[in-house]
Amino acid sequence: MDKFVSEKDNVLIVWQQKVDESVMKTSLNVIQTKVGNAGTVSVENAERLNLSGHHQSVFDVALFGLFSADEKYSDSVFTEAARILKPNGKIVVQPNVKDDSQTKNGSISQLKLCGFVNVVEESLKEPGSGDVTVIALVGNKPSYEVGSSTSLKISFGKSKPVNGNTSAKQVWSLSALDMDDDDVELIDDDELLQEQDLVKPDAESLKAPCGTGGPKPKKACKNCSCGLAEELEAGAKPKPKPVSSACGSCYLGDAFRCASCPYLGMPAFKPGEKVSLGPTQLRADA
Amino acid sequence: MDTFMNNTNTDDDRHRVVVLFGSQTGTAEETSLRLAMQCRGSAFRCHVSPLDAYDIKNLVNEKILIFVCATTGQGEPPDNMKRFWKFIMRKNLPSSSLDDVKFAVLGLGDSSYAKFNFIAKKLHRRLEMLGGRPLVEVGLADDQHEWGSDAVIDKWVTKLWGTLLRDFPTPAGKSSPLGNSLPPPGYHVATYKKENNQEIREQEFGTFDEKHPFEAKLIENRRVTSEGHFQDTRLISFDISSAQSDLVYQPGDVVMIKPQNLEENVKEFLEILSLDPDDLLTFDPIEDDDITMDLPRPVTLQRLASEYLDFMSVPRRSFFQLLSHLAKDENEREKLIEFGSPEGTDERYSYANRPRRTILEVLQDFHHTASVIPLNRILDVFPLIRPRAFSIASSPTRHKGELHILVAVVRYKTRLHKPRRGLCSTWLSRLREGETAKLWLRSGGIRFPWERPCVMIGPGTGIAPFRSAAHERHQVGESGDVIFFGCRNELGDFYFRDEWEEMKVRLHVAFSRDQEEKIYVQHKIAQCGSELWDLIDRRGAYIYVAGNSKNMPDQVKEAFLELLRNNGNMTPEQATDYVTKLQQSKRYQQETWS
Repeated sequence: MDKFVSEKDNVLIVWQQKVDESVMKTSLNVIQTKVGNAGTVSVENAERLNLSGHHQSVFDVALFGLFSADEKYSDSVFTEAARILKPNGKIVVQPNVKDDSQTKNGSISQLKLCGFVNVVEESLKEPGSGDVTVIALVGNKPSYEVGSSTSLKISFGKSKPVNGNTSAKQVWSLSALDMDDDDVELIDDDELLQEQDLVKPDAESLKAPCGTGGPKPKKACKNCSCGLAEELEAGAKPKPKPVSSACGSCYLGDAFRCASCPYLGMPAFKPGEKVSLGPTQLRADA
Repeated sequence: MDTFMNNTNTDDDRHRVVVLFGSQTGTAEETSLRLAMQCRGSAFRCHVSPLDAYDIKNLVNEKILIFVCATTGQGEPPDNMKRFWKFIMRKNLPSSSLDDVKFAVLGLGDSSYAKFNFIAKKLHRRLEMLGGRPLVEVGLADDQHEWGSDAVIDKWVTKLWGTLLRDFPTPAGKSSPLGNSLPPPGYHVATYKKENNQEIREQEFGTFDEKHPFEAKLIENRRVTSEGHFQDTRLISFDISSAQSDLVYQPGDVVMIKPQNLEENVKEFLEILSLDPDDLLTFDPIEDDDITMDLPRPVTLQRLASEYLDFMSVPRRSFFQLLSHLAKDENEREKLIEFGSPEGTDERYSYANRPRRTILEVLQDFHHTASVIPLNRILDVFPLIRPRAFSIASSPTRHKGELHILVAVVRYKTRLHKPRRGLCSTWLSRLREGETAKLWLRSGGIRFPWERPCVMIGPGTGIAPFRSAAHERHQVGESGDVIFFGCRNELGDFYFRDEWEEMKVRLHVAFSRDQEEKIYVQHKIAQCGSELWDLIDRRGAYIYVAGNSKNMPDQVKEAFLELLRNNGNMTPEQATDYVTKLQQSKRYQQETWS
């Protein structure tokens, strides 16, 4: 296929199935020598081609099936090739040798549908290929740009100026089309931090507001009858009391019990349940 | 021109608010859902989504964006915002991209870690850099606060709504997000009496994830600590042979497991709520902020309670607030209002958070209210059970068709009579042969190299990923690895003691309690200074640290810094620089959990 390549060409080589590395190297060397130092050779896997983000109109020649003819390419790969080829650039596809003519014709129409013109079959005589006539499909990108347009000179007055933010949004949306592109350069997020971001909260700010950190003031339950309520009212410090439950709140859960209730920590009692206290609970204010 | 449209759809005049969260333990998600609940019936229409599930290309077209994100112990973004993070940090994003966007960032962090709330801080700065205009200052919630993260969250949320309401006053007929009234329910609920046709079980296929977990049969549940040892640790093996092509893992990968409530707790819960376990329900979200639900349609109350509702967690303020609106009993209502108000925070902390009281226990105290919770409020009142992550302990080659995890059963006492138990570990510890657990894989933990020696430090259950790696690497012919393990007693909790010889690794074990002075892994590392220096510097060894201790990773790092100074003749600055380079080139990796 090297006969389609000339000196100083920018060549794109697209492959699909993995072949022996030495085979790839040999073929690549041939092309590389032919284009010389002034040309370039880019090798792309078909699946990655759309993600590689080549600029449009950069390649002179695109070769498909250089390493292995046993391949079929999707429309989107050919469309992308049409975009990144220069106007009048050449596409060469080596179709499957075992294919019958119908599929070959199919391939011709596929290339045409993807935007190529002058698509023809050309025979390749490769060394070592013996009697097998190897066929390649060759086509050209049109001399105009894909999707290009000429503005018609009809003026309806001034067009709106392009808003800076609108174009920023477009760049953003384009960037978002490929979320998994690992080659995009990232900022070092550590550099976003400023001096004050490294400061941690001091211990004082972590305390509950108005809480002094000391023991919490005791609270009496709603129907307090053990004297705690009166004591608190009188401003006296509550003293530990012997176990007694006359307030009627003990059977309720902790939410309703006195701060000195011996049943604290136990579930609410069910009607008729016999309640017994362990030694730790009998110790007042444990 | 489209006025007739506005008349037919009253939602058109509501302001769209997008709440995006990056959640590690579930707090960010819960906080986001609470924001959505506040929006119900208001002039704001809320869309909630995990950051990585949101279509990033639309971000520039939003008007109001609220970010709620956690920071992992190592200062990294949580898993469900990693893709977003890699995008938003792209250098080529124009600095005027977010000119039309107003945003607010709430961070959930823990100031006992060095990189406190780094993700929220960085995100806030980055959004400003891209042109976004902050509505309020970045909120930095802190688990170390006496009142927990709520202390900051409550204030920040109030401030945020205050600012938004100034720009978008509440019109007549709408409620304020700050109003203290009961928001409209989030779901339509239909109930059926159970008939012969059971609930429909969803079909399993393709890749497995949170919404389509794999139901793995338990092969073995073996206690690996001695009988008398205080800690109950289990090596649990699951059969994944029927899904092998979809559950492909490597050493260092993590398995997510969705735990269930214990049978006795489910029974008690349904009794307190006066619900029939066999009743069938369907839930249909009223506003489209439905993100987490993978509920079967219909679902029995039994299954809803055992697999979805997390009533064994400690209730948050919003729980009391909601219940106070539903309470009929005067006594209970009064108390619920107190616990649900910001002024009652101290009381609530003493009652619920400090003793780690569960929602189920709170419901026992407030049983009158519990029995009248309407079904269409159930998903608002109770949080959902979150999956738990475990480092995989098995080797895909050595243990073909199996997946092992190492689980320390969590159990401790507070001032409450009943001991506290970890939901997932307790449930797993009771799982018997043939019973199943719902699981799926999460890759992207630590990675092991080819043809390089590894130095692995894994005290306690931190050894799990290294058992996986050591077996796998031995199977494929890698050698020269060194492992540091730490435990209390040689005869108590020396995990996998019979396996190490087979794997031909050099094992150093620190038994912390088998002698007078405490010996830890970092001491063992110091003892092997010259050997390790040679491995790291000359043979390009990779270093791995895993475990659940808060201080261990820092102490191990300090041990390596010392080693570099002593054996590598470095200055302190050179040593720090060297470790930073190791970390950047992924030659020093950590996997820690709490």
